[in-house]
Amino acid sequence: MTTSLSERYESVDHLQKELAQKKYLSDRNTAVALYLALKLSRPLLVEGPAGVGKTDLARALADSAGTEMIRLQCYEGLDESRALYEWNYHKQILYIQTTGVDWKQAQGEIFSEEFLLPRPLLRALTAPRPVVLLVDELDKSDEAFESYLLEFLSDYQVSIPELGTIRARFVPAVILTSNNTREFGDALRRRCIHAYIDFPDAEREARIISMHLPGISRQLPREAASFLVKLRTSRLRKPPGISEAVDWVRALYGMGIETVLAKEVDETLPVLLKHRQDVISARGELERFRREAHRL
Amino acid sequence: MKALLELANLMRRVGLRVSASEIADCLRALSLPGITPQDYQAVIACTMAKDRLDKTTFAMLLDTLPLEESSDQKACLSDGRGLGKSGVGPASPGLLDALGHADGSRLVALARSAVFSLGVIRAEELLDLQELVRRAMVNLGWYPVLRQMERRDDPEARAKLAALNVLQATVVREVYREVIRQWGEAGASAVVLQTDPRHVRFSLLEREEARLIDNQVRKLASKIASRYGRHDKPSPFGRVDLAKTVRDSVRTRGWVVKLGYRRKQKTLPRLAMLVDVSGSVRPYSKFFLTLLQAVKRRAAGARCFVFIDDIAEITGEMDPMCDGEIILSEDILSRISITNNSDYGRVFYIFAERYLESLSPRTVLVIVGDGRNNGRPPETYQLKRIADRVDRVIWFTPLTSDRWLTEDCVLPLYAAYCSSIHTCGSYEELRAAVKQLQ
Repeated sequence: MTTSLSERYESVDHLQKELAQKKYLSDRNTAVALYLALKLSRPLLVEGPAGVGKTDLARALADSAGTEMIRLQCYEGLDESRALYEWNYHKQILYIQTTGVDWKQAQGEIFSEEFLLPRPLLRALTAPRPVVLLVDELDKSDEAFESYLLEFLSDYQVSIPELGTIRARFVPAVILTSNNTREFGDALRRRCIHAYIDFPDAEREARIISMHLPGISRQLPREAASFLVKLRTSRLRKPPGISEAVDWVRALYGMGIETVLAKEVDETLPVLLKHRQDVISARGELERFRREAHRL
Repeated sequence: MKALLELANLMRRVGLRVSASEIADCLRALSLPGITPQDYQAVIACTMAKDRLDKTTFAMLLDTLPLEESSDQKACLSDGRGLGKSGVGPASPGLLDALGHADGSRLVALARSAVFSLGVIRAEELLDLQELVRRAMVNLGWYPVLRQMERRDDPEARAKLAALNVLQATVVREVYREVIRQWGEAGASAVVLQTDPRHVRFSLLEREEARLIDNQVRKLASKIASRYGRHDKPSPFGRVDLAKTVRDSVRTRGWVVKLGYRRKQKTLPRLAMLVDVSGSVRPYSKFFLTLLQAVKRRAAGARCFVFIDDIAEITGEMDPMCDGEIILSEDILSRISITNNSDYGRVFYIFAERYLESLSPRTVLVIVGDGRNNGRPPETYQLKRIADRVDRVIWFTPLTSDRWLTEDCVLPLYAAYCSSIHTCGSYEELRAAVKQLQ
């Protein structure tokens, strides 16, 4: 069993640079955690508020490693038939009907890999090369599913009663994300390397925005980022995420607005915030931001 | 390695969970190529502290722990007068000057000097570390400088105010460091108990801490909502239900054609919460409302009532999909408050009159309040009426049991009709209470 994804990165700096080339500016702590997860072949549990780039981290890693990202989106009621494998019942019935084999023979044949529908976890284990497996929003799944994942996460293998134990051909890089809506068990945490991604500081956010909008002046991302840092400290139903911030500045840029202090910016706030009450609060915050800027 | 084990032991003693495999992971990680010494703290954090709040406590411990004392620290430790090798004298005269030069190392030296002038810290002083911090700040002459800068409104004053904030944080860190240095594990426990938001009383949480705890409380909700009850119900399989079988056989002239079955089936609890939102309990009840809102997301049948000296149902006004804090409208507050003082007796009477019929024997009634009745009649009979109707009455109070008989608290009178009473003044206490319910 080889773990070529881990061999790809020589140091934390190297990993950080590679991610940056794929337009993902990680902070040092996140890069350290990801580096350790790859080197120690441990899953990386990434927690943080919505919109800070948890899912994007997996995408950037897969892009930088030039490999496939397999995504398992979790939800309440998710079970192994959706996450791991399912027997292709229709195909099995068709096989029995068309071949006319007796039951004893059919039993041996219909429970083989040919009749197996691999779901994301099994696809990650049987992939012909190392892949990045993203188990997104794990906190939305039930506790039973979390327990079910333990064997997979610790040994990179799963047990299928009819086929036996299937081990990973190449250890996948596993990234689990969570929005902190549910407490995970100690067993899961113990198996993972942990990273908490918070909203970036103004400087990093300005760099992220500039990176996504080449050609933009330096002033607009800087102003937008300082405003966003202030805005997120106010009481909002849903604080704006990084992608919303990029969209917002893109909208300002597209409209030819060069400063956040411009009056027309008020009209663009719905791009940033998705609740009416939040937009109203943000208008007040923007007004305060303008006054402070004028005072300075 | 010794220092790491020492840290792990200390983390365990203050309540953080660190397993042997995590320590092994950490040791492996530290020896990996590509990891530089400036990454060590991040490496230890991501392998040994796997919760956001654990990370905060861990960072504080790592920051204050005298695992390997640097030479300048030893200098300051010399005799407790701040006159060691660092050569720092009394703080206050030099404070303004140091702030003016924004000299970081000088500010740190001043902070240390002020902390060491506290001398030997006594056991009873461990109970209130904020008082130690306040005394250190007084020794430093921090408050007069703060007032002076607040009166001015120029860029220099603003810069000095920012430096004062940094200095305050340094003093706090140095006080904690000194407490741990003098008292070892007991000191570390005292520091964690008074700084980890999970242990801090709800009423004392800072805004950012309250936000973190709010999130933790939401997580607790999933535990409550997924606590299924088990009830005997007709089922296509299970144990034979003789009564149903006989009843059904009447249709076929006494011939048993089909057996009836029953089995225990999972049902979500029916939860009703009665929350005191008067001034004295508001900092606590806020978190219980958050809890109920999150429970409602999973168990639609949950109902919520708020009261002061009258009562109102706010079930319909709680948006289960909203993650924000529940803000009680002025309209609701005016409906539930005549005198603005809690009146449990009256509230129980009104609750029984208005809502008793809508409760079922499967309902679990949770009352949140401190039981301070402001000298009004407790009307225990009304609570008995309610308790007889529901499955259980569980009472959450912010008061510790030694205060139940003090002042105007009538909680002991109600205790006879409650299945259990839990003290929930902090997140940890609330978590323990929820765990007991399971």
